[in-house]
Amino acid sequence: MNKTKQKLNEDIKRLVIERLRKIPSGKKISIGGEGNFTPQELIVRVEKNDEIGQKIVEIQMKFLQSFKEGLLFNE
Amino acid sequence: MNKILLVTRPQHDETTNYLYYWSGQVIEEAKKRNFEVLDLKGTKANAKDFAGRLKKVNPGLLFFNGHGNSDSIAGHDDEILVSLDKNEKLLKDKIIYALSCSSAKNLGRSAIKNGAKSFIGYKEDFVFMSEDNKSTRPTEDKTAKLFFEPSNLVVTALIKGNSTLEAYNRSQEKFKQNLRKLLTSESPQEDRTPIPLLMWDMSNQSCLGDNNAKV
Repeated sequence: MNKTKQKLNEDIKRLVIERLRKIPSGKKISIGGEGNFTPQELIVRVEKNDEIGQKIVEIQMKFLQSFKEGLLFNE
Repeated sequence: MNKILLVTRPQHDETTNYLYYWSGQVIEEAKKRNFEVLDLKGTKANAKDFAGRLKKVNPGLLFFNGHGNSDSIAGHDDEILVSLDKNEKLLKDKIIYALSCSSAKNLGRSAIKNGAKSFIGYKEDFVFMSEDNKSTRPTEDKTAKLFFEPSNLVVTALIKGNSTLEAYNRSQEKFKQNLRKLLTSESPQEDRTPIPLLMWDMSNQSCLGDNNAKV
């Protein structure tokens, strides 16, 4: 992996972790058959870059992408 | 098509517990509309009972709740109820809503090829946010409601006589309503955190087969 791509991936991870930190305590996220996770558990998974972490990054990035594409407001 | 609804709703972990309780609201609505409901709940959500009821009673509408993947839908303790090589033929002529991860990807497409009328499901994991202190009373969980209300609308719209496309559109519109509600400036910041998850479910919900099929 070249340094530019590595830097981009690290920036994305940091962005997703910041977004996860905004989830109030007392909330859980269910990810299909993988189970239920607290925001703190998800932050650890994103840092580890395991399957769950990658899924959360994908969900958050798809959301950010949707603004660019106008998915929500285009009827 | 007959007015018989078959529901599978296992209850063996936290996620299936939420699906169990929220699907109960659909069952109540179906009964009000004079549907016969075959409720395969808890341990009854097993492959033997599932296949037996389908063969014996032949319900027109199936509502799956439970874990799954792109090739299969599971019941109690994750026993496979239907997959690409198990019980798939039993889906012939049915209208199906699967609140089960990723099942629209392969199983849904295959079911349509093999004669199912319509299959509404999700191409990826169905995700939701919930409140820890509501885990014993899932239907009182306002955060989870953001996800399960649009989901339930698929089946309630179908039992009210809407076509599969209309039911899908109503569900999509409810997802959008909930998203807009959270995006309004009046919402406190903490309430916005479910948005990416709602967006994910909305965009992965898929309607396959005959768009005009009705129960």
